[in-house]
Amino acid sequence: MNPPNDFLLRVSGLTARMPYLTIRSVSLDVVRGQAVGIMGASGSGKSTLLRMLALFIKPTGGWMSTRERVWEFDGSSSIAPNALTAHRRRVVYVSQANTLWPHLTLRENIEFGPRRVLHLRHDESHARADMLLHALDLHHVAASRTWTVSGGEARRGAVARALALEPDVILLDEPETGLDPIRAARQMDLILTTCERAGTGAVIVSHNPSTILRATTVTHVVHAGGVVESGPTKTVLNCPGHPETQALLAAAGAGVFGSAPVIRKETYEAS
Amino acid sequence: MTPFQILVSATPAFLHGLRVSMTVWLLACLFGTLLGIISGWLLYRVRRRSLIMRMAANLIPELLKSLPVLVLLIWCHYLLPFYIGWSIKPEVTAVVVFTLVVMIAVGEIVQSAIANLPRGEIEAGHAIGLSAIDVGRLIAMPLAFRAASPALILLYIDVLKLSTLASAIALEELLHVTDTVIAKNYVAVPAYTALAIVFIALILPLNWVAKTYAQRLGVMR
Repeated sequence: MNPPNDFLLRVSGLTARMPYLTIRSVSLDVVRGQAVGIMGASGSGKSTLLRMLALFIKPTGGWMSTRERVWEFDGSSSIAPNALTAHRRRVVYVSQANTLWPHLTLRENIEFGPRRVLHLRHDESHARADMLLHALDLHHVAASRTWTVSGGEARRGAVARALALEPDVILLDEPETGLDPIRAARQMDLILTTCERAGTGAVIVSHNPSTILRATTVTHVVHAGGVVESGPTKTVLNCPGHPETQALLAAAGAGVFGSAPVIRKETYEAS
Repeated sequence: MTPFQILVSATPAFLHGLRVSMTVWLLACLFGTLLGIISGWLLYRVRRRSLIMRMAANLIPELLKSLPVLVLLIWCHYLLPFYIGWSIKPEVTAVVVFTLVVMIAVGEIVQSAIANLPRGEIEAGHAIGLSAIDVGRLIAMPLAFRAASPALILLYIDVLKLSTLASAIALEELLHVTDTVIAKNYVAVPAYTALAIVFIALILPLNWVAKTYAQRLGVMR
């Protein structure tokens, strides 16, 4: 096991009550250089959970500890703006939409965090952007306007913009959306290699078992706002215990995943 | 003298008119835009308040919007001095009235630009730990300005054409100069054609610059 100081993000009993969904008592750990998967169907609350980790949605219960501080949520106390921005610099959320800023070039988007948030010198932020542009295969579009780049480039640009802060954890919401399996896989590898090199932990939300299998070592399956199954990714995907996991695998074509059991159509249709 | 010779001899008068028109237009656009940004932002803030507050805040803008600009000019130039007791130069009246016109329209444009700010891009600013003020200053404002720029440019061009209405209060702008030349020489069609050429020469390049700029911004692709 890893020594405790390797934990970048620990969450326990995290709860949030919202009009449309309740996130129930979620616990997960992110270790240095590790990628954690959150798998679930649309509407299961996996994106909501991710947004809670970045405190875009304020938890109403549970606690969360980062390397800097421990948060306890009781549903009443408000979060100080300074604490919020400090948290988001360490735990950066990347949404599934293309949210590059169109008034800046791709390189300027990436340099924005180091310059405007961390207040680094120009040459330092330039060097960080250079490193990320190469690592994520974006150097050929560095000077491009953001609406001229492809969907995958835009997504990697958003990841680079987040990684430029050198955060502890990066939260990726459906990073493969809109890409074919080959490009999705290649992109996932680029992102993970870059994260590993920097020791950044990743939390990857996806409904796609192949993304989860390729990218993560630990997986939590989310259903109706709660974690229904957790464990090493290979175990979870090979021997799915919960019907929801089985249904997701069956829908994605279970035979693809090594020795995954053949799931009867009844199971798939039942849920 | 042929009509052409008459027009050529009136060139100094036209240039004077051009100078007056441009001065009024530029000042009105400048002040109107600044005031419009402020009023638009304030009106946007009022949106979620009570109905009474909204009505109070929107009363004057709505009234000004529904008034013909010509009436506004004539009221300000002939009626207002009667009450306040001293006369106002037509230049000042024109700048004030067109500033109001620009302000009201910019206020509308600003409100819709704020209302339609892309949420994801704003959230991305928060997501990298930018303070709320910096998100507004470095992301929301540039994005709102980008979204608003085609509408703003259209408005400026409209106001330039609208500025000819100030001839009704004897402002020596382009239309007034043209009318004077016509009154003296009876060359209506050639003179108005010359006026048209002046406006085309002003507005076409303006439009072209605006379009190129909007394309560079990616607002118009």
